[in-house]
Amino acid sequence: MNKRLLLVKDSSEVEELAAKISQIGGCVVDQSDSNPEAKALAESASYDVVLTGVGGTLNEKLSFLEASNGHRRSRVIVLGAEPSPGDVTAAIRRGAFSYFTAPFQSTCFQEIVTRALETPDPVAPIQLLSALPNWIIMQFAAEHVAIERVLQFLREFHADLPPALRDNLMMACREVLLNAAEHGCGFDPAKYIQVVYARTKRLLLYQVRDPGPGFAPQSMTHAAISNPAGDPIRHLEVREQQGLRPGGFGILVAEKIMDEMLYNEKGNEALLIKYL
Amino acid sequence: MPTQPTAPVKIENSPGSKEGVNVLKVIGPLTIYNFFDFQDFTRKDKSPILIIDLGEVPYMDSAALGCLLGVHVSCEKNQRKYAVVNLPERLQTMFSMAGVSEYLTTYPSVADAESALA
Repeated sequence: MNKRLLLVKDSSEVEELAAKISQIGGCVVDQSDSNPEAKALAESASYDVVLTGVGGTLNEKLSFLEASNGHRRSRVIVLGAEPSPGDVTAAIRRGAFSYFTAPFQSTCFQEIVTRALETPDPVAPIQLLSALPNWIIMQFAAEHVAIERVLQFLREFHADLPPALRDNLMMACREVLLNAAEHGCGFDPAKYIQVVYARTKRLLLYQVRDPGPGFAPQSMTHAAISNPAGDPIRHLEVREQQGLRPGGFGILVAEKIMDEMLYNEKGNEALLIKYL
Repeated sequence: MPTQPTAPVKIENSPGSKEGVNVLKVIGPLTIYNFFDFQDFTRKDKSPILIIDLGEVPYMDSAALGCLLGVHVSCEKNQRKYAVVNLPERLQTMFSMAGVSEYLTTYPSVADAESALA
């Protein structure tokens, strides 16, 4: 059965997004010109995903999260005109699926919309344990949808950074979060990962904690960080011998992006630091 | 391995303009969630020259990079040629950070790779 998506097309940026969305297969798209008009539509029909308009108030946009007329809740992707960490934290707290500020990065956008359409209801919540713009703590299930959502929310907290730096930081965070989910939690959605993002005038800090047994970085012969100089793919042989999937570059890449990266004694908690 | 829904990756397989060349065009993020599709394609491919077009891969993760290097290792073992083409800047950055830029055979375009390898 086709999924249904409601799109509030109230700006030229959203026009471009609409074209991207039309490329997603198996999805019927209804359009509206404003949030209030869309709200009326959402009350008369059941939508899997609602993309709010760029304009209007945050409350207006988050009101799509309220189930109405017995319909199940839609996954709501909030669009904003300008970066607003306060709006992002409010959206997380209220259970929005994701948040994007213009200009929209089409790749991430298409990815999140696809995931919102595919994710069965109810969506596991991202718990916001601290919502200060310079000290965010999120806790979430060790599943890929949650990781992609957390990465997009984090991306929004970095909206003022140069795009290349932001992309690299998210690349590092992705690798560390995936390690936590895979090795620390076995992708078990009953297990939780906690990420702290703190920002001072001079640095960005990320702390990722999982409930797993941890690891000893010096014993990671199956990871690229253990390769001898001049042989950056030696670990691939080790991985093949051990029957592991391809990979093993995550920690190395994250270390290259960050200025400092350390682990706690147990090895189930990583601290990533980038100086500004 | 994650069992939840996967982000889509589209793989278009077509013959190159020269004999013995097969072109795999990958579209979409290539990640731990979907790299097996790509791995299947590359393992089944027996053409003498395999060209992998990553121009429409906005990002990949460590697992996908490992898979790509698996193609490199396999081609070296079996004395087949391969090339990775149309690399977006973000992937070039990742390859550089992983220290594998020099290992992978890369060309700016499919045409360049065909001219050099076929």
